[in-house]
Amino acid sequence: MNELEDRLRSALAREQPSLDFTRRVLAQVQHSRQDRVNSWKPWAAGCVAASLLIGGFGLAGIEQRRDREEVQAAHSQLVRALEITSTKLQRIQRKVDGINQ
Amino acid sequence: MTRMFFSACLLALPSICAAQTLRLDNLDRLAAKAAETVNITLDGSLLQMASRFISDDSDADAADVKKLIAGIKGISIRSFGFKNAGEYLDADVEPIRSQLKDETWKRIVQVHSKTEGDSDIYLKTVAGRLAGIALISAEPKQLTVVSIDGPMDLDGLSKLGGNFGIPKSIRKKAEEKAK
Amino acid sequence: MVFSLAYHFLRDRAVAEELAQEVFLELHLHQKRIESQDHLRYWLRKVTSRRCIDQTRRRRFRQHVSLADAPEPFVWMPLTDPMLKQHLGQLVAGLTEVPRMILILRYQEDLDPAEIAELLEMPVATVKSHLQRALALLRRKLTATMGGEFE
Repeated sequence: MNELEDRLRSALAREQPSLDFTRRVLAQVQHSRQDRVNSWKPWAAGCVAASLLIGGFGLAGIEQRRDREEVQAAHSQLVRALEITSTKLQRIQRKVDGINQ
Repeated sequence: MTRMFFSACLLALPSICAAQTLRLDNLDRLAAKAAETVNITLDGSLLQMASRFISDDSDADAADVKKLIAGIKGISIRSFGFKNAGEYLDADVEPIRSQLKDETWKRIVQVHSKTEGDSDIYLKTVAGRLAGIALISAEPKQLTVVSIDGPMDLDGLSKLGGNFGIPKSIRKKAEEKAK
Repeated sequence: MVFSLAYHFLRDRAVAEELAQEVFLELHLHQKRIESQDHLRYWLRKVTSRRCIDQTRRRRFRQHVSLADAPEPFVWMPLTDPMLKQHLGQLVAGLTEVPRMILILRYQEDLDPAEIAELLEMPVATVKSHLQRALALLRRKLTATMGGEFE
């Protein structure tokens, strides 16, 4: 049963929501209006924010993840750019060398 | 002779004043006709970001790449692959060549081939210092324009071995395609 | 955690986000009852589980054919790791609501049967029974898909 359970843990590993999910939730909570005796208290946003952190939605975590993704994407683009430029330069080099011979 | 031109673009050149980037966006309409399109725009902040990802410990090439891009303020590339020859015209490239007629740009390499198309390399100098590099490769079925804002050691780039994190077999394939 | 529970249960990101938002809104309404971080965690899991199960029953997200009755794939092919992960996720989503949620709480949240029983307000023996049967069913389905024994 171990392999299946390991696979299940992997298949059911925590998924993250979209990047702006946390902001949407906090915005929704902050703008909601209550007709209760206990009116909305500013610190309550902290409670929801804390729960978002517990839920793995920490804004810092999201920002870090986005930063990492952006860095990786920029790196991939740089690699591609250098590869293309290098290839074209080598092609031109070969042509020039061919003419000079 | 060519190596002298390339060697002239040494990264060791002191930092230069900000150069105006070549505008490549007027090529974007070719994407509609192209079978393959590569569109890369990396400004200074993205280059810095990408540089962070390159670990000096990985290999000597990584350190070389970091050195290569250290003085660069931006890289832009437009590359279009077409199914057939003749799907783009000289007139499509003219907006780029027009920008390169500015007195700060000087063509240092010009190669013309009836069968393989034209290739040009331009250098931009400001106050006697290298401020930019432009490369136009106009092949029958592929048009590539590279604009580098800032100084780069082209000789170093063209000689750079390693794989930029890309397997050698794929690089070899890219080189064979370019022949 | 909240979104992830909902996503693995519903296998629909948009609906899962919607549900997760509702949970947090409900939290906002009941915030005064939360006494500690552990309590908060418990509360979030409980409400999310309940909402997922209720929603599925209400809107009939459940597949028309239960997993037990689903035909075996008629083409056997070896599954790569990412494919297996995806396939397994789908198999879990094909379970009926209660065993599905039990599996997710067990393997995503790492809760033991006693904790799951308390959360879902059912006897521990029932939870264990659901777990056992669900695992057996998944093993059978995977073995049939991949060929050979899947332990």
